[in-house]
Amino acid sequence: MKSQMFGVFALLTIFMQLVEQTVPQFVSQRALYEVRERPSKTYSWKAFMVAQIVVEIPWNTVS
Amino acid sequence: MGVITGDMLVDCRLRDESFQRKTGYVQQQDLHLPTATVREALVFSALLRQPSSTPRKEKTDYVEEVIELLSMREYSDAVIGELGEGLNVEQRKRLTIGVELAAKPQLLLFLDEPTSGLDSQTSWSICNLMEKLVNNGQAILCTIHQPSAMLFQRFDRLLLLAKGGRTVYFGDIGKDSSKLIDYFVHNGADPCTEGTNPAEWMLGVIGAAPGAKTDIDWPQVWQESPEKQVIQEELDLLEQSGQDLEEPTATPEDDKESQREFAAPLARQISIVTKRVFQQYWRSPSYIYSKAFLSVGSVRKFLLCSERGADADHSTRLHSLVSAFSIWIGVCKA
Repeated sequence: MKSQMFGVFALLTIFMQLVEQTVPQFVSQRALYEVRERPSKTYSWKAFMVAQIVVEIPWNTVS
Repeated sequence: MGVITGDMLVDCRLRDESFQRKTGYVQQQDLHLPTATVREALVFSALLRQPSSTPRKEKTDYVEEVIELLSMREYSDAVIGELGEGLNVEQRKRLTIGVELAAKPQLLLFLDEPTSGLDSQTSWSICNLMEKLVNNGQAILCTIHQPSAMLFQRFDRLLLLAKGGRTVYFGDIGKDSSKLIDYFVHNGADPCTEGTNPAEWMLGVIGAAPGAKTDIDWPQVWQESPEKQVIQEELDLLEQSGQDLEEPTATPEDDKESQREFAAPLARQISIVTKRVFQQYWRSPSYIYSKAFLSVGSVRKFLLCSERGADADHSTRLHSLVSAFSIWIGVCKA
């Protein structure tokens, strides 16, 4: 039981770290999207979010 | 600030949803994805913003045309890069214009101070470029700040606004700004002396330049001037002709497509955008390197502690695994 709890805790810490790694990349891209590509209706925010999530999957699975 | 009311008509019909897609807006700042090349940036814009009924081949051909038009052939495969490396300021400005052109705006290309922050030679070549576009049949609306006399005369018509958005002058500039100067002198301004920049003189006359003041209420003068009458009549005529051909010229399918919020369907948007983000990650390898480091490091740690701790209990092993993880991720962040 104890080690199970610890496992969950460990998973959560790792997850937090991953988020922290991803955010800087995400923020810079979002800036570009909001200023230039959304007002000119280039693509929708759905496409933007899907791309941002999909792109993280390979690296994070490997490591 | 002034309040302006009225109808906004596009081709004699009220402005609709599609207006944003049918105009190109060249922003003052040159914002680009630093990892993409010039051609990729243009293709991206063309694929997503031209109507989805246009075949892909036609769009990429059009991009080549744009590259030719903007004389960007030499560096069409160069990476844009951060400011200070990669493309220089003029090339960036050209690309910003190009990205909007690649979207093939049907109505209007709007440029927000395209010459600000550029030296006079570069401004001149941007003006050449705009002239080229006009000769190719593109309508251009452009705001400008403190133009030199040479640049000022390259524009066809001027809309001069006073504080609060009140019209001071709207009409042709004329050769050597003659029409503009005539208008102001005719209404009681001091004549523009030889060698004065008409753009600066004009601001001085209406009292907008620092230190200048005027007793004449120029917007009022404009309201009563015969020049305004002529323009108003022309506008009325345009509106009238629009009402005459009330039948929409476009077919219903055409219309439906132009009413949609985005040109490309969602699935295509997703695939194109995802591809670009992958490419961006691939070309900025520090992120992937740190990820790789992290995984190699943790595996090593893990092996180490499993060898050593054959008799150690489960939770100890888990603990060292976690600490290894945290350390490595911490390192990567730094």
